[in-house]
Amino acid sequence: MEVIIEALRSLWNNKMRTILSMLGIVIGITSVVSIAALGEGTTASVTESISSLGAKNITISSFSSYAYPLLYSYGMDIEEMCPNVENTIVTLQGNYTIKSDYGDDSETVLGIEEEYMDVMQYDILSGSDFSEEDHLNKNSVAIIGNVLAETLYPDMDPVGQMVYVIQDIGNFTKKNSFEIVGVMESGTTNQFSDPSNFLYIPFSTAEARIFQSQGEISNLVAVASSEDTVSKAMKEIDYYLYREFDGKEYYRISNQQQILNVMNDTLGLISFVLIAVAAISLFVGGIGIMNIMLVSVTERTREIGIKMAIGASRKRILTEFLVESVLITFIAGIIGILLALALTSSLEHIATSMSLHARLSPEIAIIAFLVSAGIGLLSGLYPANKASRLSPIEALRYE
Amino acid sequence: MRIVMHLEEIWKTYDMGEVKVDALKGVTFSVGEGEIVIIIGPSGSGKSTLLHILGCLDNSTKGRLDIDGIDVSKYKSKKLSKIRNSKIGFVFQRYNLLPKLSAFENVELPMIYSHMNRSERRKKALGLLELVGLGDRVNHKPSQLSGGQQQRVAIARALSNDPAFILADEPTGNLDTKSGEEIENLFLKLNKMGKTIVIVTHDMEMMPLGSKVVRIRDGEIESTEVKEIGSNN
Repeated sequence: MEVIIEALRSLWNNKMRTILSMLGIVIGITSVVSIAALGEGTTASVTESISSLGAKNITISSFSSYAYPLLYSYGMDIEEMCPNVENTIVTLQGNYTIKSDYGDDSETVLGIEEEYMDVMQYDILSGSDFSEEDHLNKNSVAIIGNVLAETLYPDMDPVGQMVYVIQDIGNFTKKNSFEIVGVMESGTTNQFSDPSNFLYIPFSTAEARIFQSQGEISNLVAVASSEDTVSKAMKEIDYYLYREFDGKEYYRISNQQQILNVMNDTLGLISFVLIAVAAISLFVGGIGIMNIMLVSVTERTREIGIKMAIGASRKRILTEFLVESVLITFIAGIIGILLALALTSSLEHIATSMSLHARLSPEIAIIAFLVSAGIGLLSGLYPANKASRLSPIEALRYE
Repeated sequence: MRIVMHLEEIWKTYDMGEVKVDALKGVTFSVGEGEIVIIIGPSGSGKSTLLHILGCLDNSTKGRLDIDGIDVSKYKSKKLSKIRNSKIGFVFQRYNLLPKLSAFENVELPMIYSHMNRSERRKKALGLLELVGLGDRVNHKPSQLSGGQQQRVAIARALSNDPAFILADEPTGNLDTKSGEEIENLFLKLNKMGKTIVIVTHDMEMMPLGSKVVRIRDGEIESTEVKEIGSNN
């Protein structure tokens, strides 16, 4: 205990030198921790936005929508013929000018079947989901995403209001009117396209009034019975589609998890390389501390001699110097972590458009502490050993 | 009289490559409890070498050194530091206080090395500073004290672990006459309390202080004078 107090006092007595020797480690720890936190945060947010789409979801798309469009019947067939597929989601999608009496916006209109809101785990904030009759009778009703609602209906409740989808057909425009029955919120922000910015109408209504799609659909997603059966389900779907596409591979079957894995691998590699570069500054900082400690040993030769004469053992002298260098780097580590915390959170605020996410997990912090203390130990070892090997007689004579 | 230190045929030979130099050539003498022993000799007499060996800062080449009944002549670094800490109280010509520590903390330091607990240490250090007449200078740094005061702090430090003897190296060498006398008087006072004191010096004026005077020249003992007990009031 006294050793630590004495070391702190000695560091305090040489404030300027202590601060300067800490600097390298502070910079090193700050950059390493910041990069690690940004890497982890970004990975987490990508993971979240992708898995919010459902790790069990298998997306089916066609490369040739004229020759081989996706058909409504595929959904029913896949559900029936593939034992590992639990459910399919079929949607019609288009981009239109969406108008209200108060404003307009160009956004996605999505025709959805029953239970879509439940399957996607979206919340109905006010009003209600479509009723069975809405789907059966092709009613002109709509559910609006809460973000879009703010644009079209500022400071008011959209439920009960009319919304218009404007279609340009040839040289005339068609104005489709819908009554808003509900407001939804997606809960997750997807950085590619935000479901809270969509307008939702019943699939049957969309098919009859806007898309006139005659059995064709825009998106087909199959939901596997569990995350473990995803690859089996994909094989089953492939078997079915291969025949439907006349043996031509104009289709793609993909799973979010695969995309996620690739993205995570890439992000992991990028942050690893950046951390390795930043770690060089830690190494340089460690050398700086060793240098300072060596100077300190020389400066304090006489002090060491006196201490030895009044009974300090070699071990004690060794400990004193080691504790000092570990304290320097440990304090530098704490400062570095705090700076990294400040840096990453201000970066998040400044660069919102870059969608930077930082997450300083306890693991990163603990590793940073251990690494900085370890550097102190390693860079203090040689100077401390040198100090403890001094001959007391020589050290006492030293001017 | 109990013997606190005994040297038996101590030799110290420095190997200077081609030639070997004998700094001490079979020195034998004893220090009894409660004595003031003055070891006197001109420079180059082997006085410093003897001081280092008595202070357990160095090993002899040959011979036997008993301190407080323990043969320390074969001890290595770790055990020697323990002997220095517990059995020997060093007083140097240049005081050798740690400049950044207060008088109190300087006195406390050897007791930290011997793992004495905090409250005991505090009591002891304050008592010793009181004893050497610096009860009102406890928190002063060495730079705020006169030479004589610094040497008294050093003496208090030397006494902190109740050593077998105080080993003083030219203790008045850096002091003016008045401060020097004060230190001599302090030694006499401590001696009256039963402390054993060994003073290594070349200063003839210190001779009357000793109950025993060992003259050393060319690495050998030239003469040993013992005074009648009670003759140095």
